Amino acid sequence: MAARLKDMVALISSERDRFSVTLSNMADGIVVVDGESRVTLVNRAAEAMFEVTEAEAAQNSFVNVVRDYELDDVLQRCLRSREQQAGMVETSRAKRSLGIVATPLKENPGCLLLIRDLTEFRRLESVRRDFISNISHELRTPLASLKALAETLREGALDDTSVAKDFLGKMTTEVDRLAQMVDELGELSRIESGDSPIRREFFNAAGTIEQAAARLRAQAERAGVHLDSSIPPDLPQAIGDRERVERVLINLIHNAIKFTDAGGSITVSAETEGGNLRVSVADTGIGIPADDLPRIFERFYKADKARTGSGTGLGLAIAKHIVEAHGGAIWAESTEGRGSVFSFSLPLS
Amino acid sequence: MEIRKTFHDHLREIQDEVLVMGSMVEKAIGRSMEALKQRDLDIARQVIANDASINDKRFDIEERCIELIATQQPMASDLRTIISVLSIIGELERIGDHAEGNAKIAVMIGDEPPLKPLIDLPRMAEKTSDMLRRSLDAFVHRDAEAARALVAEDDEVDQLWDQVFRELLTFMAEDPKTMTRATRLIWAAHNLERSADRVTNICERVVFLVTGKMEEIGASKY
Repeated sequence: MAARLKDMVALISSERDRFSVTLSNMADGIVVVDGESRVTLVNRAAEAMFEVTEAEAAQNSFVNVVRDYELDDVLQRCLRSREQQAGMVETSRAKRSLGIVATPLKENPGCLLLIRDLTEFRRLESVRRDFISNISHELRTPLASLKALAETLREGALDDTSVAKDFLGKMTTEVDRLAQMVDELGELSRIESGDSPIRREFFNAAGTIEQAAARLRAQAERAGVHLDSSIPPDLPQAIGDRERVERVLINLIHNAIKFTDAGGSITVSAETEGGNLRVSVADTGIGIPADDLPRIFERFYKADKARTGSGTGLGLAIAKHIVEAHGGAIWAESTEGRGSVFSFSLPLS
Repeated sequence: MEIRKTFHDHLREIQDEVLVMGSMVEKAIGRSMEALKQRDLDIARQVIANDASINDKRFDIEERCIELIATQQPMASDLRTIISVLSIIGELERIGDHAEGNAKIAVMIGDEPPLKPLIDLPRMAEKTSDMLRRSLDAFVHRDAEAARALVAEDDEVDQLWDQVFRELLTFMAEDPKTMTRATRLIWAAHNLERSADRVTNICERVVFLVTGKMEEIGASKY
């Protein structure tokens, strides 16, 4: 009898431990409340989600712990109806998207709440949505121009040789733009998939930077923007794909020219930092809103949707992929209305 | 014994309802600012529609408090709690009205070209929300010291209000055509400045609840 009892206690104890381990290792938040909405159990994920300890949460009301009326509303509906309730809530505290499912407990009037942090999922969903809407916008603009030009030619402009020539020139420009976009998308996908390997050879970093700046100086002058470079004479040689690093620089400088008004300036600088080469392109342009900053390296992402630039919307995405394929990092700092600094670093060894 | 238990259960429920109302108001502040910043009329209209629920919540809590006073004749700290709740929900309702006001401004602005990127206004909204949340923390924990300390933080919102006001005056002085748009943003900033002041009133109520003394803790600059 005593042995059986001992076995039973051991079994219960092991079941309890297993339950406890499962609960504390779950990525989703679990909260159990009684019929009065008072918290009786929270797992580790829920503690982190709501920045409370189990001891602080215990016996406090659910709303006191989560401080969110929409989460509490799901619980209240479940307690009232005794049926499973679900909801999606944007929290105001940490600006997170939480999915919540409240299930009534059978053995007592309480509820079990399963809370899943869907912030990253929602972010990716929004990236995907924006990507589709941006790519259609980028394709629609040259296609609309082509259609208008073709229709005008068909409706009689074809008979006027000088107008027809002008129109055909414009059509070629639009087709080139579409072709460039397709090429860049292909390039991006090749770098991403590793199909287009990055060469690893020593190259003259200072010369590459100067060359990229020189290639865009005329364009900057046309825009009334002063483009300057500040490269230390003893800058060491870099390792990587020279042409592609130059492409990164061209994309960054081109971007800076686009978003800097006449009278502004752009400075390209370089330095060694630890074991890395760090290159920065600083402008006195319109800057980037803080909310958009984390997303500017996404394909076709445009911080100012009303501003239709001449680019394909892929320049920064390509720059990011090239730098990362070199084992480096790229980032941007910006103050709206004052300008931006785009920097990238490449390992020197 | 049973009667007191019931009374305290009711009181706890009322306190939870204050937290629910606080969260509704906090979200209204954040969403009205989102509507202004993103020029999102859907969010703005949602905030305007939700204000009725905030008002209903206030009346519901008020009724519960009155019923509790009438049926239980609370005394000392229990009575102070109910009196404080009545005052706090009044302040929360007014903060909700200010948020609704900002949502209405977002609707008025509609798709007019933006005058300037909104930088200080979101900061004001964030600071006000943060102060509101912490004032309710102080209320829940009966923490008079935290409430007193929070009042001083209103200066930060006042400084931002000063900054926004001066900046928008400059816009108007330089180009009178910006007058309408700048004035609307000044209203929005003023709504936030008033909201932060109302948070300090909540803090004073928390101090009263704990100490039993009415104190004017810090006079707002405005």
